[in-house]
Amino acid sequence: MSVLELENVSYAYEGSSKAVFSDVTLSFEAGKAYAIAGKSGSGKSTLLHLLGGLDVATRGRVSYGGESLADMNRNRYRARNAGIIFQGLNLLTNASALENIVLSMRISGMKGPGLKAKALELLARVGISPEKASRKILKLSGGEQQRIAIARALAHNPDLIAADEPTGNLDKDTEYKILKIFEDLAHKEGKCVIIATHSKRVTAIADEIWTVDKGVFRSVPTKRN
Amino acid sequence: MPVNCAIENALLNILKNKSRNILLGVITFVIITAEVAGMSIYNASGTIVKEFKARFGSEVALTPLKKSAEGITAEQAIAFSESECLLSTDINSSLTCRSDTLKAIGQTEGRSPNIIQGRENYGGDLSNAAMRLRGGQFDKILAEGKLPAILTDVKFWNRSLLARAARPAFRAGNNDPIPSFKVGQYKNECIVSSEFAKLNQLAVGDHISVQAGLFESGTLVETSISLTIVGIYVSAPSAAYPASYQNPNNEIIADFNTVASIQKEGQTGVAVNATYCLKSPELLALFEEEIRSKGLSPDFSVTTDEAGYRRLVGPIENLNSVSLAFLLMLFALGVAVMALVSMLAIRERKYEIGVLRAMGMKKGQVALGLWVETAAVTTVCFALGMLAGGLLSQPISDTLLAASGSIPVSVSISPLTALEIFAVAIVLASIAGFVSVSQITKYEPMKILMERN
Repeated sequence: MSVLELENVSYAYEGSSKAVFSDVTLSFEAGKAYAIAGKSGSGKSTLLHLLGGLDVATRGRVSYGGESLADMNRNRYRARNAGIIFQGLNLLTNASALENIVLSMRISGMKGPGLKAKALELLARVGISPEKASRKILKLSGGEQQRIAIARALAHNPDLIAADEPTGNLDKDTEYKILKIFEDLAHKEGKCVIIATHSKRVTAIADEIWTVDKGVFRSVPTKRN
Repeated sequence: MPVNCAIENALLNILKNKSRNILLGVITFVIITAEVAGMSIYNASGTIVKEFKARFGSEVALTPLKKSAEGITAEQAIAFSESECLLSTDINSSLTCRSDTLKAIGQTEGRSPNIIQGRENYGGDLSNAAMRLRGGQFDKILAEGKLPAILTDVKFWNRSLLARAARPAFRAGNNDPIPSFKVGQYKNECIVSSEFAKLNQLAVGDHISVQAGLFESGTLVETSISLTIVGIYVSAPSAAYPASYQNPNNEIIADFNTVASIQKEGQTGVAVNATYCLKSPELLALFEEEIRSKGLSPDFSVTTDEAGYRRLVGPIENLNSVSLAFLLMLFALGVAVMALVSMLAIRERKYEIGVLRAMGMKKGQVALGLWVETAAVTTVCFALGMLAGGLLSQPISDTLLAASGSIPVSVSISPLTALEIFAVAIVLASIAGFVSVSQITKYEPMKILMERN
């Protein structure tokens, strides 16, 4: 069953006449992992931003659960339904890892005294110890920051996880662990996981792979298939 | 998302962003300190201007333009006093008199057997009249401390007047309230100085008789007046006077009507002195129109001592205007500086705003969070600024008043002033903050983050 759908979607940056992509029609289902592969600047990140409700399409319709994102409350969508892992991470650098996670939970409307414990549990899942969880973001390595960004995207238990190069800064072992988390999220927890990547190891866990070149999306066979 | 999350996050941010908040705090502190000093001086000088206006009004002079001008009658003086333009009126009537049974202090023996004879003997000079009978408003005389000292022996006056008159505060000459004077209450009653009473062996309850000189169809006639002594006031020893009737201790003080009514129709001789104080100098034309219609002769000019009034009130009014200009300038400067600082601070925080928006925080909540942060810093700086401003207000005010040649003014910060300053500070911070936040949050979160990058 489709969670997210793109119907004839086009996108061009403000002030630019050239579209990043045009008339794209795609569909994403719950319980599946998707990989979007392509060169830098091909439009992978832009697509994720549209799917994550961070920007709106110039033309066409992006819908979540049948409702157009352009018409719905995108603050609520981002806070509750979508978990986004940015290529640039976009963590609050003046806050600790733990504070980043707890704030995300609270913005989504989660309450109660157990938030810290849940956040620490989530951080442990991505390999961040309680000691490191209390450190300011800038006092952590790039790999650690990337794992915190992943934990933050999962903090509010969203249906959709949109990840932009989520393993770019990770060593092989950690990359493996993180990919396992994504795989489990899709296959065991029934989430829709969409990952923009260059990495073959990432595409290896995908149920569907889409390549994008000059704004044109093509489906390619996966190893799984 | 709950609102308290945005507020909680904002409060945590105060400590996280120490450098920025210290900078903001210092600027706010300086502005508030200056605002406190300026507003305290403005309010204090404003109060003083009001008090001065209320207390001194503007004295009107009714000046005869030619020697032959007929004096103002008692009826006219009273009629003129019933004007809405007036802050206060002081009317007194007086005439010179002598007595066959009483001696005046410093009186030359044998020189004043009779006013008519004296006038004939001395070429119309009335200086041989021994005493002056003065009719005024007892309550005013007492309240304004015109008597040399307190009343020592008052029999017929009401008890409250006696009690108040005897209070040490009254002795110091302050404006203690005295029961108001009522026309006719003290008819044919008088008070005399202790020196005069001692000389003539007078006591409260004694009846005295004096003769006053009045003109009737150009002829001087003597009229006898009987008075009852109801009080004796302690007087300072007399100085030397050219004529005994000029000596204040020789004044027999009665109420206005007692003296004014001695003069019958067709007679002259009772001098009526009226002092009118306008509520403000601008009312002069209106007052003149009113008293002309009540019969003031064209032979009198109606003027105010505006120069004197301005001399008194002017410096304080100037200080008031200067402090208002200072406040407005400071307000404008404050708006500009706070707007600039806030815009710079929020540009620096664009990334943070972008991240919060990307996480799903609403625009209003982002703005609320930033406002809470600024408001908290402002509140702390407000308290410190109030303290510093309060300490600076008095020396600044003293310097300004000394420069303008006025009396020192006690400057203090009223709760209302404090509230006004706090409102100004919060408004400044809010305007600056909201303008910047609205500029940034009109974009989609990704655009904010990309612009920042």
